[in-house]
Amino acid sequence: MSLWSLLFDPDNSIWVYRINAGSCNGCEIETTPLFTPRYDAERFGIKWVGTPRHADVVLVTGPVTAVAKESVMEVLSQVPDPHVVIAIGSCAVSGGVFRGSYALEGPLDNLYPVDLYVLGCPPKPEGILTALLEAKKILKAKRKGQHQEKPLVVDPAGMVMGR
Amino acid sequence: MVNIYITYILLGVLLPLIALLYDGIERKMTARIQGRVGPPITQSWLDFIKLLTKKVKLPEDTNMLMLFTGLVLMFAGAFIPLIMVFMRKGDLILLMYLMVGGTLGILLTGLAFRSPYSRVGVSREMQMAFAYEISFIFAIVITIMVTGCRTLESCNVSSIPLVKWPLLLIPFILFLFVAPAKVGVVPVDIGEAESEIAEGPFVEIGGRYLAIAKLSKSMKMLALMQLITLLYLLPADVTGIWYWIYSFVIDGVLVFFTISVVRNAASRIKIDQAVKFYATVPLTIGIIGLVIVYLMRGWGM
Amino acid sequence: MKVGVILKHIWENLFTEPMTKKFPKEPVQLPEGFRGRVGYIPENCIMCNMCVLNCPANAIEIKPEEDGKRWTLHYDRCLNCMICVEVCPVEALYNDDKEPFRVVTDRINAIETGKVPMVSCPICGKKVPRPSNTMVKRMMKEVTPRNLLKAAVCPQCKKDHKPEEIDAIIDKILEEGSYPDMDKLLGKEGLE
Repeated sequence: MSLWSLLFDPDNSIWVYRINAGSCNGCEIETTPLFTPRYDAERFGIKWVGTPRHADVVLVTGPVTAVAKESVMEVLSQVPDPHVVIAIGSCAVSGGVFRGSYALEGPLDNLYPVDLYVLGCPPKPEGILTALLEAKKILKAKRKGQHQEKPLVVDPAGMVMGR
Repeated sequence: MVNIYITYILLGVLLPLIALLYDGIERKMTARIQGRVGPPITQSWLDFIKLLTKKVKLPEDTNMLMLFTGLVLMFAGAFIPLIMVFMRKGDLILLMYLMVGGTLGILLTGLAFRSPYSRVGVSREMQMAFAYEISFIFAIVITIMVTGCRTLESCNVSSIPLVKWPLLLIPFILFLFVAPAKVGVVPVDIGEAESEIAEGPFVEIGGRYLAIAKLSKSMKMLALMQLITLLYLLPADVTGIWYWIYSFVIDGVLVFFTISVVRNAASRIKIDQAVKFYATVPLTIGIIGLVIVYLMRGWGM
Repeated sequence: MKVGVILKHIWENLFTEPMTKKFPKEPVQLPEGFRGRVGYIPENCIMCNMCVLNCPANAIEIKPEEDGKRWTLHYDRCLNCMICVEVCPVEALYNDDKEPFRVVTDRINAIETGKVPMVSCPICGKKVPRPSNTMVKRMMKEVTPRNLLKAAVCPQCKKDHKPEEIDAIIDKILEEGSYPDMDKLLGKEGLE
């Protein structure tokens, strides 16, 4: 690590907050070991915080169920700029096995712009760590104001396909 | 004259940086004790810079007057004691008042928001403050009575004869009990519990206000460690640059033993257990120490 | 009080190497039988739709194109359950256990795809789907160009000609080299 990145680079300190939008807890079990001695994420400067108002990166797991939708949207509106939203597991990315069910308000894409997707069911903790390291570059672009959001793509049947 | 001004301005810039460096060293020690690679030592500097670049989003019904007053009190309650102890000028009783003022700042910050998490955090912090401040006061009063002076220049263990050194053991032990509670470290950081009440009084602030809060906490830790070194661990009266070098090294060792080891060996205790402990064990030691010192003065020693 | 045990652990941990896995510098260690990505071999597929019907997430689709049929797996819906691998009768799907996760910024294009093209009957020239390597191996014991050509004869021609006539025509075609879809038959092109 160069002197700049050790002393002055604000992207080397990432604070993470986690939201469970109705998941089966498999992805939660894979996110929790990130801060234990085996897959230490703190050596990259990543820290866990207890409130969304301190967070830089928000990890969302689970398809957004109808019961959880209001709370998830309210919590996501409290995260200060600049921030990155990562969808973890195939449920948050596209609804997974539950796609098209009556109890879902759609995968997270329909409701809020998502920056990174981690596919897998559930993904290994190294996958989530890779996504957090990718999020550094996106954060850097957002801080400078150079990040462009991709538009939503909707297929002819009216179902949202992603970005 | 100019030398003094330049010294104070330099200190005003360097001391917060050194305090954050000690915070990073403590995090690295905690990580190594737990068997993992930790963050780099300069991680707290990077956190501070990152917090300054975030846009603040406070809730709409925040009481801004209380928030600003609380932050100013917190910062003053940590910064001025640090400079006083570093330059070895000032009054011991004034130092005590300022540090209690720092705790008051935390309470005001928590009361500026309507969230129930911050209210619970404030009430718990108040209960803890009632419990440990009495022991703190006892420690300082016993020190003043044994050494016979009130200013920081001459009030240390090297100014009294060797025979009286065991008497200063009592306030030293009291300080070791009080230090984790004042700094806010795990067995007793009940006011700012991260997982139970979502960080207590600081749950709704972010951005540069949070940067000031975290900086004040680190400076309070360094000020307390320097105070312990100055009062009880200075066997010969050194001043100037040698004193600074010596105190930084001893600070590191003290931080290790009173904060890192204690933090990793224990889990957080409940508020009633904490108040019960602080109201019995350190208080009894303080009263016994005060009685002993008073009797010894009465016998002309 | 077990204070002594804790302090002993703290003292030991300070002098031993940390137990952290050095992840980006070392590759991920996977256990045996790990369920990773699903790999597709278009040379073996017979387009029977068993994987489409059995996928619990409806992630696979088979669509006709102008020159054959295309098989697509939408990886953003796949759960790596390997039901399609178990159910496939011709071993056209396999468990490629080298990729435990995938991080993408664009989920629409995270797909696995392959195509089975149409080839022409060597005798009458009608279009038939390309014969699957697995079926040729099972019926004729070996996958050679001659066996593939024999399997590509359309059902009408099989009824009209005797087996010795078909063999003679195929030998003549192999000598002259006059079969137009030889590359597609051998699996060298047209399968992406």
